[in-house]
Amino acid sequence: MKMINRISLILLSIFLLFVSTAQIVEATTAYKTFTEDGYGRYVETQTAYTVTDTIVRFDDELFSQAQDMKVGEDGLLYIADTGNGRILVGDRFGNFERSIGDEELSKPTGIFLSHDQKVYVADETNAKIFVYTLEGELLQEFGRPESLLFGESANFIPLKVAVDQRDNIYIISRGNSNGIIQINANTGQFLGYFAPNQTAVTPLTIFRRAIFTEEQLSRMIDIVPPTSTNINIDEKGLVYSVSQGDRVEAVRKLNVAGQNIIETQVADDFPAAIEVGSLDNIFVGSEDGFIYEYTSEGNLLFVFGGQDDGRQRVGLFRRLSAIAVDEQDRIYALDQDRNQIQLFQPTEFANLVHQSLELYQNGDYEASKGPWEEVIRLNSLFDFAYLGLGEAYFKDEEYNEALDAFRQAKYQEGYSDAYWEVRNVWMRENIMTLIFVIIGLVIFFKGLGWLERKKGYRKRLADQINSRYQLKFLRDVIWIKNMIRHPINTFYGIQYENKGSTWSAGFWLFILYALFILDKYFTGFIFRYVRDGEYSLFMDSVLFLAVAVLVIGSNYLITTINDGEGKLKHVFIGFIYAFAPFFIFKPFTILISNYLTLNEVYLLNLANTIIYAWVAILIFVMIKEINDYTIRETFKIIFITLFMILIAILFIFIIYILIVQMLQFIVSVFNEGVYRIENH
Amino acid sequence: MKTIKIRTIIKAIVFLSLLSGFIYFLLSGDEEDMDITGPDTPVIDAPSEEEEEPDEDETELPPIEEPPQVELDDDELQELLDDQKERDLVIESKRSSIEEHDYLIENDDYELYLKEENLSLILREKNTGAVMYSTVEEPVGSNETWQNFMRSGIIIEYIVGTNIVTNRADMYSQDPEKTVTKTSDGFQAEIYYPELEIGFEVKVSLTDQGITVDIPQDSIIEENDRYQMASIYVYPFLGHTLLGGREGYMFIPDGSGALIYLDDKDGKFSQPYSAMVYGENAGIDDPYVLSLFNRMNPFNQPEKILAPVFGMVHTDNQFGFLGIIEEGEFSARLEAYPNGAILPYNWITAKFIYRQVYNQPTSQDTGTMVVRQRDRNEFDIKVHYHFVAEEEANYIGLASAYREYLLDSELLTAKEDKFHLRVDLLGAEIEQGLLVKSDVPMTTFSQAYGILTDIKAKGAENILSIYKGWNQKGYHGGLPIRSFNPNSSLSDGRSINQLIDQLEEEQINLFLYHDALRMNTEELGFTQHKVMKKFNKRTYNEAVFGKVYKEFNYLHPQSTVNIMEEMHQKYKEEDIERLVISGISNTLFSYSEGNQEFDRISTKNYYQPLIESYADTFNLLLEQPFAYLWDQTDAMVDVPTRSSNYIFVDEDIPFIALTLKGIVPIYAEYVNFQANQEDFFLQMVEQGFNPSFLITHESPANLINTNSSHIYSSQYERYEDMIQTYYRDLSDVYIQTAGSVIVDYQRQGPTTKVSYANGVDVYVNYADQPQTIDGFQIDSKSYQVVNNR
Repeated sequence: MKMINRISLILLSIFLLFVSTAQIVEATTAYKTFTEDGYGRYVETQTAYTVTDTIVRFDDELFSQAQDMKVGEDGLLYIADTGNGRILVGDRFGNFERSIGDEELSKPTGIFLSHDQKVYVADETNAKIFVYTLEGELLQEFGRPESLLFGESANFIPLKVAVDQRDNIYIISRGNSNGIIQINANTGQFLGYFAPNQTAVTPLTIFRRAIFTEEQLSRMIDIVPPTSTNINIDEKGLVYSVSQGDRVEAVRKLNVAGQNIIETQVADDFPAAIEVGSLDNIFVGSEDGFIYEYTSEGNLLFVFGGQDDGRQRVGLFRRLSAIAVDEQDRIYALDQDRNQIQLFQPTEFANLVHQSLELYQNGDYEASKGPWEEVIRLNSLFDFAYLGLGEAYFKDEEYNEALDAFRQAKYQEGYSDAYWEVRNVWMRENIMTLIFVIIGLVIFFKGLGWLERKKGYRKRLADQINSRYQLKFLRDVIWIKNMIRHPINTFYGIQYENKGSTWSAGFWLFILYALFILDKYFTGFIFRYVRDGEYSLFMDSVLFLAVAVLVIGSNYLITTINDGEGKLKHVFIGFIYAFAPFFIFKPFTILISNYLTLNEVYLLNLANTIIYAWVAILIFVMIKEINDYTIRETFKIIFITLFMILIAILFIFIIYILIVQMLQFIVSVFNEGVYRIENH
Repeated sequence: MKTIKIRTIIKAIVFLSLLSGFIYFLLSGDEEDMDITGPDTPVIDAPSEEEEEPDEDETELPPIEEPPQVELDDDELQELLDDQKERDLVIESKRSSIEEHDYLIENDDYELYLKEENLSLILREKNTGAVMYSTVEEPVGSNETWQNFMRSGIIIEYIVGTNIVTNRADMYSQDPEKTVTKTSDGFQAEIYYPELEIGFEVKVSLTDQGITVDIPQDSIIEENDRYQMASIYVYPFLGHTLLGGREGYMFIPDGSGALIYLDDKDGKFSQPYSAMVYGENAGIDDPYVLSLFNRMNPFNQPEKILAPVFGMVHTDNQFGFLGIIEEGEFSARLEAYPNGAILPYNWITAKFIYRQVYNQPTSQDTGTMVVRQRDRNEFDIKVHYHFVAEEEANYIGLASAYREYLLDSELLTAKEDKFHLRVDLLGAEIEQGLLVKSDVPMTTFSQAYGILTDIKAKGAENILSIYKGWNQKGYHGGLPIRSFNPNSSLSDGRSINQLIDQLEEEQINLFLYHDALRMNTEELGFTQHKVMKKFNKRTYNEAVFGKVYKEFNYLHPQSTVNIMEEMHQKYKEEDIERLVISGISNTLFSYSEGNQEFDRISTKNYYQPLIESYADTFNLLLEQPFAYLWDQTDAMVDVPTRSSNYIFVDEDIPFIALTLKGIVPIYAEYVNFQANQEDFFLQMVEQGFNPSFLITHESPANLINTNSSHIYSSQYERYEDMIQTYYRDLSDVYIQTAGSVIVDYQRQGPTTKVSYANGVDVYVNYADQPQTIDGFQIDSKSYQVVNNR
């Protein structure tokens, strides 16, 4: 008995020794953890990962400026020890296993462990790719491809390397913007460039290309696409790459054809490393120490970490250079300045999210509901959970619940689909009532028309009112209805028959403003581009007024010096009245947008196009008629007006800058004066 | 008429075109040396935050750690270490002198030896013979400045003229004149530096618990305007150890408490732990230069030091001490150096600050100069080193020493220790509306009544609730609360007074929350209340990066007092009996007014009587209070359960729980926002905390556009069941330990055993596997309470 006790005690203590690295009570983390909501805004959430350990050395082997790291299937860490010119292999407890390539390597910057258990190393100084066995035996090396296709002047300075299942090596070379270099590992043959980054074509670059000389163009940096900064390949052979730079897709998941198949709403500007986790989750580490976890479809689950600015707290980085994830979802993050690896362990919350995601990705929607709801209980703003929940409900044909969940998730496609179903059900149930209502309405209006024709109540009433009160304002306001059928006559009326007034135009201007606001904030969720609860009414008003003043004012000023006959009043009234179709039809499109789905979006687009085209034509006609121009002259005037608007904006901008400068100067002088006086 | 008009317009247009031509000329002129990366749009916007910060960076204050790292390679160090003769850890019997330290005095437990040359002390525990040294005899691995530092008992730092770098004078540098006189219980030394014309008096006395060191401010002499005292170190090397030569740990009061082991750190850490007692000083210290993350602050603030204590324990000869700063704690900075941070020694000390330097901006966005503080901070220094030996030489011993000290010196009296469930409610917040800012009601008065009575009806009998954001304009919009004005969007047929009365009938205690520190200048507009200004005469802005308000200001302490005195009356008129005061309970700062500078003690002198008068009239709770206010609160609210996770910390300990459990009820942080809720639950079981929840009636999604957007989980619906389970489980444990202090605390791998004075043991298992401890089998992630009475 005693013996057994002793044995169990020994076993227990061994066991304890084994688990004792796990911290009992984790500390307040130095960093906050965020997730994204449906709009791509960052929302705070429970800590997803906490640091459990920091590795600064493998036994006595220190690393220096290490720039890459991978975790093997054996759980060992392979570190490209860039500063010491070798590959270090050790375990997560800091035990040294072996070092590889001490002789050949001089500046290994990239490392990859291939499916057939080989270590590929990119050496920047040697400009070569070395291939080793896991034990460190040199198998192969690849230098600059001989092929003509590679390009005579193209650089071959390998920084990062990856290998797919078909033994194609993907190499990122410094300063080679043609794309990722692809070489066949068995034959050494250059296969071509893969998935180059695109340069963003802005109007400015087009303009420059048109006018710049060759020499000037060659000096422009931003027409050369940036080289990818890091690369990785998952088990299915999909290539993941990250790139830094303006207007570049920061995170890409590439199919065989080199097309990006994910879209991320949020991404870092300086991604440094990318890794694929157990659920095909994508982990991106940024240079300034933030670690992002995306789902395989590019939804951000978590972002945490940050730059160490002397806080001396665990979990921050001075310069993150590589991340790796092992089978247990532990994240290893390498700091190349501090020469240490921090080991992040998922928390209960992160595990719960992963569990729900796994069920969801396996199509087990029913089972995923519970975990998703638990995630929402813990964090009601975790919109991705609502999305998962919505999908689950949708698959179960619980459309109303799905609708609510998608609305929470701000997921427009899903919402549209669910709404289509809900509307469908409603239509089926209410189709008869609807038909009766329509028939009833038709009969009612026909009857009303018949009554009017017979007795003329309305006309009599109108006449009576007209004769009793001098309602010029009302008449002017209603005058706009003629715009629909007889625009030219109407403009003539405005100019010569004193129809319409500044007040009536002012009234319609206000309506225009109201519609503009309604359109912005009360369009149906599916078609709205402003976010929930985001109001910028003051800016909207200022903008609206400024545009109105600028357009009408500029146009008037230009026409006066071009023999235009319109007075300011007429131009003003004309402009506003030209919006007649907008006044009449826009309310309907706003209303109807609340009942349409993405399937019928063309209807809405068509209606809007017609309205805007109509308004444009009316404005054109207005300018022509009011000023008595020919068509040719009208075009000329419109272009000059546009030019004038441009100049006016520029002018206001410059004045603004000068005033700001002046104010800053005055404030500085004042402050300094105050300080001098107080201290003497 | 018409022609004139047209002519004027033509003139205007000609003018415009001329002007635009001129501008075009200017711009096209620029284009010749065009930047190749983009069009040269002149970007001269108002400086944004990100732009501002690098400027501050440039003119940053010199780092606090003055001398540079002492360079020393390993071999050299090894040689020096080999030369080092072992100092005795245990000296069996009384001697006339130990290492040139002469026998001075003794009492029942301790003998004190003194070396007059450098005021170095050696303390011997008579029972075991364990000794502790206060200076290094033969310092290794450093330059002369540091060697003198290590060999001295007291070190001052001084500022020369307008120079902002501090210099040091110790028992060797700057040739002090020393007069040591023996007193009845120790000695008194007058130190005078003839060259600097600075002098002061040190009094060391041996007490039953250990030693006390006094430096009264009256004794400080500063006769030369050129040289001024900056700070004083009091026995910084007391209990120091060299590299990994000894066993034990240093204790820092960071958050819940943390230990730094005395093992060899292999040079991993280049910086020490350094933090002001009672939090950083907003009036002087510039906050961290924030690298914002999408206009948000991605960092959590480190925990504040709530109690002015530090410790050093040597487990090899079972001797250690708890340093209690009895006086001068408001200007003290705790520094703990793990070996490798500058010196190869482990040492921990308090540094008392008399004068500081600060940044004085001279223009709107660029240019600052560093300026010296004019007046000396006024305080006496009194540090009490409470020694612990034998079985008590561990952190549990330190905690009970501190508890004894608090109780004996009447800084704390035992409070009623009863289990309560804390359910905080958030009333209203403010968001940017279509035209104006609008209220976001989260829990109305009726809903509050509904929630609390529902919780009670379901079984959770004892409830304590704090109502936040009950006032007009809600939690953040209504700062500071200046009148008793409940939020109108919350009163749906029930007023707040009715709510309180009706809850009182149900025996549910509702406390109103009052932040007495912050003010919202954006909402306040014109006001007679003054804002707190930093030493550089700039208004202090507490950046919160909120969705509605970007920053808040602090009230001038006088304004706080004015408002609070008025409110005192109003609360009484409204028959409010229960209040929570926050803000001033855990913030202290220096400030300036006109040309005068005031230190933290003046701020404290405003706050303390104010809080005392509130404590007399009301049932008062203080939010995360500093130690000097502990006696004024009926319970400790939001006690940190963890440390700030500094890189050099080896272990978190529940120092505050060990000290206060059984004396004052302790309420943990909110359960809502814990990532590891299971572990957190076990931690509450282990340390005897009362659970806290933050609850709203509405979904927190409504808060997304408010300043409380960090609240992402609070809806009552989702917590209904959880609250009841927590209540049942935790109260079962609590009942058995209520009113009893913790006498032992042991960690073994993933399990903990906590022993209470009344004989109850609580076993907690944090592992995913069942564990056996003391013959008890404890399930995975579970606990067991054993009553040994």
